[in-house]
Amino acid sequence: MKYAYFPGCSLKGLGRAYEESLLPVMEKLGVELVELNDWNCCGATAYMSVDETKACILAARNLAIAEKTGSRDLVTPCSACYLVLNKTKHYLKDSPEIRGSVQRALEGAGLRYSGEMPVRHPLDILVHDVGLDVIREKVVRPLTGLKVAPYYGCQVVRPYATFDDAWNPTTMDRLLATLGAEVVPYPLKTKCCGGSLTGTLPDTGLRLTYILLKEAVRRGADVIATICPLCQFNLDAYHDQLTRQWGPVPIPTVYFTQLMGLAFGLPESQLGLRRNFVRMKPLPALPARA
Amino acid sequence: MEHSPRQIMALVRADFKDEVLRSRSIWLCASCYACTVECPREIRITDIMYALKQRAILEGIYPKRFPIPILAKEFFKMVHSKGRITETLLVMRLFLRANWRAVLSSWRQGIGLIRTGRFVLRHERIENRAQLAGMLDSDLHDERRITPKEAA
Amino acid sequence: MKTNLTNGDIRIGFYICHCGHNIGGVVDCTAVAHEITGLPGVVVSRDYKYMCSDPGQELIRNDIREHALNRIVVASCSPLLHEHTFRNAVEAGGLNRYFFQMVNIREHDSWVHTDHAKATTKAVALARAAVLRVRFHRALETTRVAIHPDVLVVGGGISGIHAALTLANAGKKVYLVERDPSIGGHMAKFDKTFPTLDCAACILTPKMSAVRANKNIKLWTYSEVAKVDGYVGNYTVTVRRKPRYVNEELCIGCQECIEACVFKEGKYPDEFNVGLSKRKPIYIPFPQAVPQVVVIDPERCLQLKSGRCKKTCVEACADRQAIDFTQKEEMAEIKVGNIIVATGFKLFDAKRIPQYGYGLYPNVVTSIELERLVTSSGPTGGEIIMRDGRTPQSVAFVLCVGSRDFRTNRWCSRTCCMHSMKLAQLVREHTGADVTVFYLDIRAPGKGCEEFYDKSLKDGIQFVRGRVAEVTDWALTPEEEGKLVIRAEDTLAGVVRRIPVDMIVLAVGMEPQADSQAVRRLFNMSCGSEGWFLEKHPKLAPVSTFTDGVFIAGCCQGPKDIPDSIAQAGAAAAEAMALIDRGYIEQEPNTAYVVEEDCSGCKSCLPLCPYTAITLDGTTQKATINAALCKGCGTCVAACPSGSIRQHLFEDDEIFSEIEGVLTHA
Repeated sequence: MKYAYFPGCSLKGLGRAYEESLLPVMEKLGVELVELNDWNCCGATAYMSVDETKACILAARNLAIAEKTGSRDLVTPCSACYLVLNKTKHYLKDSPEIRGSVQRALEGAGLRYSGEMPVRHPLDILVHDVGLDVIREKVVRPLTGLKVAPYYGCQVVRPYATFDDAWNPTTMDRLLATLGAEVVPYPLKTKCCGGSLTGTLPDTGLRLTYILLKEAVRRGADVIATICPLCQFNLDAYHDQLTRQWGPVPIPTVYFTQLMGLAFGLPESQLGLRRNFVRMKPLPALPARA
Repeated sequence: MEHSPRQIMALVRADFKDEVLRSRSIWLCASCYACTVECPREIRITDIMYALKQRAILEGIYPKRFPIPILAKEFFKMVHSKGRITETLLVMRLFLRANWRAVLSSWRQGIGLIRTGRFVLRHERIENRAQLAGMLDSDLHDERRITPKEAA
Repeated sequence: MKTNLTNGDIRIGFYICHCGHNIGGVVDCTAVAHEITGLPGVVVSRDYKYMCSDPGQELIRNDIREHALNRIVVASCSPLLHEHTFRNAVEAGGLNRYFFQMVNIREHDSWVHTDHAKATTKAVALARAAVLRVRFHRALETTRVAIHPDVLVVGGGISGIHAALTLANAGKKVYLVERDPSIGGHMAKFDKTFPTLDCAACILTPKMSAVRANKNIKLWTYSEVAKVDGYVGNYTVTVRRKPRYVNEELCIGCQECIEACVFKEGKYPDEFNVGLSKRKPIYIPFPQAVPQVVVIDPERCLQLKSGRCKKTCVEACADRQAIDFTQKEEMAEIKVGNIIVATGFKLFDAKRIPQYGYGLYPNVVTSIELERLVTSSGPTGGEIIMRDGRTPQSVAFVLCVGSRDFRTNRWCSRTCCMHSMKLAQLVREHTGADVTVFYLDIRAPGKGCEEFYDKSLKDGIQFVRGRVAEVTDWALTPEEEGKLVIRAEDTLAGVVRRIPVDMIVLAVGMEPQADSQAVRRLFNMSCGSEGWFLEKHPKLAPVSTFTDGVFIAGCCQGPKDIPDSIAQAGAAAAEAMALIDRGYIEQEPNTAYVVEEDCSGCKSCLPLCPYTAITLDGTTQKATINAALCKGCGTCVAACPSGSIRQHLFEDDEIFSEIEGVLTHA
């Protein structure tokens, strides 16, 4: 299996542990991710706030480069990238005005985009293309006894709930269970983590982050699994401030791909787990075999 | 939040343009799209918030020194010139523009990022910056969409 | 093409109606009348303010006498509205009622055009077409078909019960067919009824008993309509009678067999108590069930599933021997003249809105579940207790769950506001708990309902205007710990509120039955886009359908409360009786007929007829059309390869002359 791959800025910066764990896990499963040549920033939510058409042009350059690779699908792990690229596809389809501007911009740059190529998330690829059975076969160190709160965040499931439900997604739950982990019921799984508000308006943003962490602790989770670099950063990097304001909520937040890597027996050092502010404890000892 | 999304919609309908564009509420939207999938009338609230933010920046009447529109503009500028975002550099610029004291209060976080190897000081950039700039500038023919005004 | 008319005899009267400003405001009626004057055969051409009025009709009658007219054309509104009126006028003037043609220049012209000159030209073209056509009209006679006096009522809820009793009390014979083992429907599950708070069982049970006692009613429960053939006045209906494994004639409802069942305790969700209690494989749906006959669930009964049971039930019934494991499904065929469909509704599945936590949090219940809890005959003997056994100190109602929501159902379910306020008052009465009602708008338009709302406000029930965003179990404050928290914007206060409560009641809305499309096809009815059965006219024919002799009553037509359901059921019964007591129906003669000498017997028309009106005559090997079944759709006429099928009122010369009239430019 071969896919075009759009990492996005975060996976080269604050979220580099995501890419560090994603690539070896995919390789282990025989999935080849081919990084787009000279991709640019997707625009995220900030760009859309300034200029809609330019935001679409920005995203469309990546889509055009992706289409040129001849791959079937484009894979992107960051929630913001996933949403922006999908949203641009929808805008190009629905708005003739934006389509016109974007096509002019692409033509001027010698690029073409047909609008057909699906933009997908690694979680979707893993569960629906690779399949849980294949993943189960690769598990050498089951996560037995590890209680995980599955946290999806917002932009992968909303508003384009393409592969899972907008309110109660279950793909990651099933994936984690396949790894042998105990999935903690976590009804806050699609609540907002605060997004960029943690930096811009900490009073508002951090409150949202705090609720997510506190409830994960209350429900007995050992670790929170995320699918988004911004969620991971918010849930991981503000424990100082959170503790000062509300008291400690000591729980690590890792990428679901890091947990997969552990279950596949990949060395911890290769999975970027040391990049966490709140480190994950070593896996609980496996129960003795009968 | 000064105005709930429902109140924003009502103010827009009633043509209270200034109240809406000056409201902090539109900037508080973190684009989680919960409202969009929740609305029983299927109103695309997040998209409307985007439209209002664009309008506020265009007319330069967002709340003074309010960090969110400043972040949006700094983001916009960095992408325009480099093609990619270097998050740590972006946040530093934001702090310098909006509230330099914030840098001091989050020094421990900065050290943590350095320790975990996530603090990037070298600009990420794409090769073909000229192509990207050309594409983005190709959309200037529209009189209405002038370069965003600086906030007074 | 020869007609049976001598052209010289044709004397046409043409009338154009202003319909006040409806037509006259756009079309120059005087000019149209003037234009038509010159056409061959036209003796009289007039315009008049309101042709449908008495003086307008008198005009036609007078002119027929004075000018010896023998063809009439009226250009006015839709034939649906007044064709009947003008045909009567023509007949009163002494002519055959089919020597008449109507032109619609309102819906087809003045209402849809703004350019006066062009609209006038169009009116002339349409009028000319009718004038040319009417020359070829033949004298036709309506036919009479006798009506079978028996009636089928489908559905044994309050609507079906009331319709059946009304007809039976008038001496008509009624078949009442109900899918479940007992009649009673949703109303049987209610404790009290709004806005009077009178006991639902006290008013329903006598009606159910009356059904059982009435000799004119043949009650078939645990039965479904499988097939409907025929037409108004002459329906043949096949009813599937499911085996209940208990002989209805022999069982007296003593329930000793239930006691004796090898299952000592109930084990399976009790349908009547919406799963809040358990029943055995052998059971009686509820204490007041009609008929008082036991039923055995074949999916659960050991004997029926495996054939290996001690059959203690059979022993218990040794003297009457009512239990019969050999029962098989039976098909019964009945003849009726009219059918009343009262198949009701189903409740919205609250799981479809996951953010309200139904199925996730045990203390989130639906309104019908709470209804069973407050009923003294319910699973808790009328005590409102939560699933953990505690009595709630605070209860919240969430309105419009699955109603007024584009993502689920767009319509207002009409009863949930009142139903919730009734339950809120009962909760206050039974537990003294704090009650908060979250609403979008309180809709209380029924008689005494606004007053009931006032009473609820005075009784201390809190009303918060705002759609509930979500129900959660995460706490922000110590008071919220261990409670369910409702998050909603209070749109009157303009703030987002978090309200912790013990129990949450979801006021689930009404939906069409899951099999409404199949039922619709069975009875040849139509559905609106939402799936409710469509009435023939939203104001003037609210219980009729587009199929003559099939009527609808109650919630299968749309959400409504008990008084409205009863009113519709009575209306449907009256409509059926109107047909029965007249004894016959008159059929329009616009039917297709076969010119036998031209028919080759190719049979290509047979499968085309939507009404199965065409058969092949065994001896002549020619197609014949049953005029009583033919609806005049014209499909066979167009399809017949030899042109041997023709249609009254749509003969070739009539249609070709009409086309010629439209296309001729003055």
